[in-house]
Amino acid sequence: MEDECVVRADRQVFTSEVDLGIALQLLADFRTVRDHALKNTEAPHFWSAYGRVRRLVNDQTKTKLFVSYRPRYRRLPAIRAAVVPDDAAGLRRTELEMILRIFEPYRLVHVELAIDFSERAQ
Amino acid sequence: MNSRFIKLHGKLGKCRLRRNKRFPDAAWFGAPGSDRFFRAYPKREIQGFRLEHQANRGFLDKHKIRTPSDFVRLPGILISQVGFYRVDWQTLARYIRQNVRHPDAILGMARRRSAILIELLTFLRCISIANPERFLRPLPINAAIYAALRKWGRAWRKDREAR
Repeated sequence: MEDECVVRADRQVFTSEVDLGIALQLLADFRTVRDHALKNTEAPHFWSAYGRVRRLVNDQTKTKLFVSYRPRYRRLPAIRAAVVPDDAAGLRRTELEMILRIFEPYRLVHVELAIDFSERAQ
Repeated sequence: MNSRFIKLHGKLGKCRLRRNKRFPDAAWFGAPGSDRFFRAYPKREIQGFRLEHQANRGFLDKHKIRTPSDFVRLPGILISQVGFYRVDWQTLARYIRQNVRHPDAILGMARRRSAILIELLTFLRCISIANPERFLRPLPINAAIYAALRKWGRAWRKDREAR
């Protein structure tokens, strides 16, 4: 009966004030895949909150880390990061704590928990 | 499990169904900017259906969830607020016939809203039926969901201890 559904920790978003350069040096398990500017060409009247996004991947766990930086508004925190785990594996506590320790002091913004139902669940 | 089932039987805290024309296979409850937001949609990667609970800053502040160690409280919160129910129409009809004017018309209106459980409960409250949840009966799938939530809570706690 328990196999009908599985609970997994999903995307976690947090903000931080640490220096991104120092944080990236400590994120040894993660590899930068892409770092690009948000130009907002499709939305000329709205600027996204951050100017750049760096995408990192942990090749072992397949966890992705999206770090938004260069805030466009004064009151925004320096960094907003989203930890996106592999869909099937979910997020491990040890990995999340390792990431958050690097970005300390941090503040959680979104905490997602996913309840996955199998096809036969009813 | 599909979005129709979620709409028909789901009661997700006080969140109300949000109209969603872009994704007809999905069901959204609450608003992304509110304290919490539920997203239900078929997910090919897991070969099933996913119900996501997004706790936003208001929810996290209210429940004092500040670090990953506080996540162990999430299963308890969700167990008290998330559930799937069927309406006991027999009891509801009996109550309406005894206590409400124009019972047949009211019952007809209630049945028209029965495709979305939350809208039906809102309608019953609008016609001054207090605590309409008493006409709901839990579905067996709740036991599986609560067992899975408790299992995740234990695993999350152990993950720390194992380090």
